[in-house]
Order: sequence, then structure tokens, then C-alpha cells
Amino acid sequence: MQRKKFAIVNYGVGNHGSLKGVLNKIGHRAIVTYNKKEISDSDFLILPGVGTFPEAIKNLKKSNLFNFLKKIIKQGKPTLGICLGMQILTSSSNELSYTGGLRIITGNIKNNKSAPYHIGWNKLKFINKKSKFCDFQNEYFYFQHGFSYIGPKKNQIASTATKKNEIVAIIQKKNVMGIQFHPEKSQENGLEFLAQYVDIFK
Amino acid sequence: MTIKRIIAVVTIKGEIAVQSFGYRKFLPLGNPETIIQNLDRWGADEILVNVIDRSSRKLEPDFFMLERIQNLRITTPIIYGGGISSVKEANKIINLGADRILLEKLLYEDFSVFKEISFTLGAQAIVLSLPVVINSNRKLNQYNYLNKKEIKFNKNFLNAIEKKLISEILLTDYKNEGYIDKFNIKILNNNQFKLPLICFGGIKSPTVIKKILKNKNVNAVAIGNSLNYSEIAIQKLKQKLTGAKIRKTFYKKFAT
Repeated sequence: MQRKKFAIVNYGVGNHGSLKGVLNKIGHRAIVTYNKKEISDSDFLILPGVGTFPEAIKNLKKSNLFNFLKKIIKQGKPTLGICLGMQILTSSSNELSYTGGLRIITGNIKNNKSAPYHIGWNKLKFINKKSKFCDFQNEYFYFQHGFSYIGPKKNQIASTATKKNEIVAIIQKKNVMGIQFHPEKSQENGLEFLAQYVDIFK
Repeated sequence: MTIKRIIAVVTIKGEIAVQSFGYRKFLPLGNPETIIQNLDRWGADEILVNVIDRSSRKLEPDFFMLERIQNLRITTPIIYGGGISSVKEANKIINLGADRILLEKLLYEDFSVFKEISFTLGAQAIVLSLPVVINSNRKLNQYNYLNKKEIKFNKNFLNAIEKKLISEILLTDYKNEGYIDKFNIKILNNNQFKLPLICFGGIKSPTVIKKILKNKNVNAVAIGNSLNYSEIAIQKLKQKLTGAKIRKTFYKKFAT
């Protein structure tokens, strides 16, 4: 297996430490960075989770990464957005206040309908039956979020069920994938998911 | 649907993991990292690392311990509590690999900083620590561990819950913490809070856990040292929780 280089984008918030450790665990190199050259030179880009949408966007703009990331992602850099990282890939969010996102994947981030917070382990249900991740149908992953994706069905790969509705769990557009759950904290399932992600998008 | 969780609690005092008895007596257990690593391998749904003496010792969060935990490459969600007094500290804890933080003292001392933390990390990343007791009038009171007094609920705590600046409440039966199956279920009958609960304090047997998890306001139970008694304690416990909506688990055998 060839070791790949991951750049975990540092936008102030985010559980970088977990991600770095887990990527090392599955045999790859990872750095936490806001350096444009290091981001450009990486094989994969990760936008980490845990934080609020406005805070992440504010920090991306402050460190002059907002437009830079848009550019290199649109140029084809394989990118994985995790939780908050998934959300900032979209058009906008109403978390705390209306904030524009990177607009890479059309759609918006809005309050969860079912309950204020979706926290805990939940199963994936694949909407796109052709997805190469369908092996993870009905497997449990860890979720921790108060806002979720609303957008075109064509972007939706998988969902997860709450008491009252379905929440979009995976979105994808070409080289860009966004996942609402935390693979780095989903034990064996999470490790396998990340390994498969590298295998598919390498 | 999200299922109910079994959260393993590691209580730390003087940089050692301890068995606590009502937060009055403490028995040393050993190195926190070994215990956390075991719980990760044994498939706990979440691990709560609660450093109970950082604030009283006027120390910042235990970043050195968090770095050591980071190096273990734990893949189980972690909640960290202890010594958090600023946005910078809260953020650093998450950067080091915790997924959520547990707050209590800050709400007594500086509500504006607490609010800022909620706006930076998101309420989903914050658990409110709320030790409680049923008073002589059978009403639920808060236990203020700073001055060791039972009080009516502090307005900052009520504000945090009302405004949903936090996502879950760690409701601790502080008097029965550390005592086998002494959790006072009447605490749940008195529950006035509209946010989900994690119950803690004297919870061990499947019978008691099932009763607690039946309550629709309860998302999780937090269990202390009894999960360390054997390598398959978590598995055995979950097998006996028939009818409860919990995640089945597996574990990785210790490599020999």
C-alpha cells in the first residue's frame, strides 16, 4: 500500500489530533496546516469537524485560505469534509447567523428538524445504490451535530434516520466528499471507511 | 435512529485514575491512559475523562495528559472535563482530540466566556455537569461542589439549558456516586429539563440501567470503574440489556 499525504486544514477549530492519529494508524502521513504550499502538495485534503460554521469561515478568510481552497478543490484535489468540514463545502448555513460557505456542493445547512442535536451512534442507509461505500449499509457511525444538509438529491449518497426524519449523512460531487459523521471516532467502522476512501479516491 | 449510549467514566485526581465514593473518598487505580486505551479497545460508546481537581488546584486543563491520549490514537468519542476557563483552552482540548467538553465551574464564574465557547465550538460539543440531590421536601436541588452546598438551581445553568447553549446534561446523583446501584431513580421523576440527559452516579447493574434508559429524556448512562473489572464487562453488560436500544459491540483482543 502506498503511503498518501493528507493535509488537515487548520481553520482554528477542529479535532485535528484525532484525525492525524487515525490516518497514521491506517498507514498514511498527515499534517495539520494552513500553509498553502503544504496544502497544494498533499494527495488529499481534509476539512475537519467540531466547531461552528461562522467560526470556521471567519478563520478561513482571516488566513486567506477561503478562495485558495475553493480554487484547488475545483481543480480536482480529492477532498473529504468531516462534519463541520462537510458543512462548509456547501452554499451557506444558518448556524448562529447566516454565513456563506465554499459553495463547492450546492445545498444549505439548516437546524436539525427532529431534535436540536443528533448525538450518538446511528446507521447509514445508502440512497445511491451504486456508491462504492455500500458495504457500510446499516453500519454504525458516530454523529455529533445540530445542523444538517438540505440540498439536491443528486448530491446525496447516504442518509441516517432520526425519530422524525432522515438526515443526509454523505454528499459527494466528483472529487469532493462530505460526511456528517466522524469516522475518526467510529472505531473499526470508521477506520475501514477511511481506508476505503483512500482506496477509491487515490 | 440514534440509540442509547453506555459511556465509560474515568475519574482522575492527582493525575491518577481513581475510584471515587461520593467524591469524598478516593481509591487510586493507576495510569489513566491504560484505562482509556482498554475502554477504547473494549468498545465503549463514549469515554468521559473527568479530571475533578484541576479547578480546585487552580490548574489549566491537563493538556499533557490529552497529548498522551492523542498519541494512543483512540477511535472512541471522548468527552473531557476539568479546569476549562477560556475559549482558547476549550479549543485546544478539541484540537488535541477530544470531541466534547464537560463544563461546570465556568458557569458559576463567567457566563460570558461560557457563551463564547458555545458559539465557537457549537452546543453539540458541550455537556453540562449538573450534580443533583433530592432534598427533604422531595424537590430536586443542585449540588454546588465549590462550596459543598445544596442550592436551588443556579440561574446561569438554567439559562444555558433554556437557550440550548449545551446539548446534553450530565445529571449526577453525587451522593451515590461510587456506590453500587444506588442511583436514585426519583431524580428522573423530578426532571424539569428539556434537554437530553446522561445519568451518572451509582449505576452498575443491567436492571438499574434498563430502568434509567427507559426514560425518554435519557440518552445515555455513564458508568465508572465497574467497566474495568473485566475485559468483556462492556460486552456482558450489553448482552444483558435486552430490550434497550443500544449498540452491540465487539472488542479487539489484547495482542499477545
